[in-house]
Amino acid sequence: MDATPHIIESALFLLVAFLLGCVVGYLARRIAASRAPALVPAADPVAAAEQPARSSESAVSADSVSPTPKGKAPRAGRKASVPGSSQRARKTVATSSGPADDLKKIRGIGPRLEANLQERGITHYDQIAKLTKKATSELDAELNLRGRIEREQWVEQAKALMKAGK
Amino acid sequence: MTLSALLYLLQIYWPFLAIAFAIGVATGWYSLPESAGSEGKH
Repeated sequence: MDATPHIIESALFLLVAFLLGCVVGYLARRIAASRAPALVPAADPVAAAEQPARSSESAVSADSVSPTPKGKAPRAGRKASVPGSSQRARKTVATSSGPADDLKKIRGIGPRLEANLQERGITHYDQIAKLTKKATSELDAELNLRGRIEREQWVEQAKALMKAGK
Repeated sequence: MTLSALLYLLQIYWPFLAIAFAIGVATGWYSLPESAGSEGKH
């Protein structure tokens, strides 16, 4: 069989293969993005159970962040359970309790950045809302964000989201 | 276009189809924005 009469068909095949690839790639990325943040909270109950006595120490760096709100039992697990995150970044935020907030609602935070923040123990809006200038600049440097936290007004956005959530 | 022609094309051009598929996967993967906002666009 001669291939030359099938140029259009071949082109259509290629197009279909490309489009199929696009769909597969898109879905794979979506799945990968949705799974990444879910891994961090899963480790929490174990770590929290291991260190119940330390829960009162979970709010660190008092000069950087105000304590965890009343009525919320802080957890020490998340920040201690991640081996790769640096000490400095972990000291910049207070831990918080309850199910993690969707940090992606903050404009400028995507799945990857959300996962990075969660690795550093930042899972709630109130933790971002309480970031001081110093903590903000430290976190900015840790994540190599080049001033985006201030520029995109994460703190203000977090406060607004907290307000909206109440 | 008959089924045999389709099979013939698949048989001959599958490497190109695989390449097109791989390019499509890469395109689809990187087409998804980091967020609805502006992450990674600064």
